[in-house]
Formats: sequence, C-alpha cells, structure tokens
Amino acid sequence: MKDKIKNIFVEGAISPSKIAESIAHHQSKTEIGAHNIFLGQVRADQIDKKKVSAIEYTAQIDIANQVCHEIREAAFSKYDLSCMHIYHSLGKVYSGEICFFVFVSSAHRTPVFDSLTEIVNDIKAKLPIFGKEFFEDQSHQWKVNQ
Amino acid sequence: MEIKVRYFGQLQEITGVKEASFTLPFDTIGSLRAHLITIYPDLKNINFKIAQDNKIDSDLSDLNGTLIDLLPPFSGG
Repeated sequence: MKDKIKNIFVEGAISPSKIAESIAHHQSKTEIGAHNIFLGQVRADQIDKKKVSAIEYTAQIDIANQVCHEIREAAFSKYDLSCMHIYHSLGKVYSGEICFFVFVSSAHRTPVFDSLTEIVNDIKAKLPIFGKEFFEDQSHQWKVNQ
Repeated sequence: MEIKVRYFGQLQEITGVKEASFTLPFDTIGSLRAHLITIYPDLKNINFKIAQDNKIDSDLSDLNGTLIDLLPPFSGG
C-alpha cells in the first residue's frame, strides 16, 4: 500500500458530524465487517484549583505527517486492514471537544482491535505535536503526555 | 552556510522567538545544541529533539541541513 503522504491536520475541533459522515462513507465498502474508532477529547483537568478550558495544538507539520505515514504503512503491513483514517486538530480545541480521531476498518474484528491501540499510542509518542493547556483565567501550561 | 532554526511549543517561550538564522559553522547537531544552550541557558532544563531538513536526527550526526527544528516533548492526542 504505497499511498502518498496525507495531511492529518484539521483546524479546530473535529465535529461529531464529520465523524458520522466518515462512518457513512464506509457503507459502500461492503467487504468491511468491523470498524474501530478512537476519539481523543479535551479533558477539563483540574490543577491547583484551576480547570483546563482548552488546548491549543501546534505541530511540526511536515515531520508529523511523514511519521504518521510511516505508522500507517507499518500498521497496513502488520494487520489485515481495509482502511484507516487519522485526523488531529491544530489550533484551539475547547474542553469536551474532539481533537483526535482514528478510524480503522477490516473484514473482521481482531485486526481492528489489535491495530487501533498501537496506532493511537504510536501517534501520541512519535508525532511532533505540542499542546498548550489554557486555564479558565487564561494562564497556561504545556501539556505532558502520560 | 546559513541555517534557519525554528523553535516549537514551549521552546518559543524560553527563547522569546519563533525562529532565528545562524551563519556560524557547526560540525554536528550536538555542537549546535551546545551553542543554543549557551545563548538560552533555560534550554538545559528541557528535553528537546533536533530535526534537520524535516528529519529528527541524533546529536552525533553531521549538521548539513539548512532547516533546523527544535522540538520539545510531544503531547499530541
């Protein structure tokens, strides 16, 4: 599967209707029997009585897309997947909104269960994306992934 | 040779700039890192990766790119 490098980034939050549309697009692909979806949502973390109200994402986009492409190709060669869609937000995403969407499909459930965890973990660990967490009083701190 | 250095995420707060140009010769990525730490001592307190020409590279590698990116810890998702 030698696809060209895709741009995973979208400006702002990923809307639930975009996710629904993405699911609907697969109804014509009748060889698929299983989908698995990960949605990352901005959490209103509470730190020293201050609550996170939004995360502003920036990225080294060229490297992030290249590394994501490598993760995608590795997953396609390791697992029997029909298709894979990956989107990540840039800019401000407010708490409760979706900032990260990974969607894998296959003929059967095992490849989608096994691959999704790996893809999500790899993206969080390897893509140069930076989250700036804003509190309600507009002060901020830099997000640290667990 | 002129190199363009771009700072990402919290590194922009530490340096106070988004990017800068250097004409000094650096033989390795590590020597550029050491130079930047002398200009911005607070860079010592943070782990950052360095990429040249859109590829993350090791401190031991020769510096032969012209676009250098300083990347603080990743926190996507």
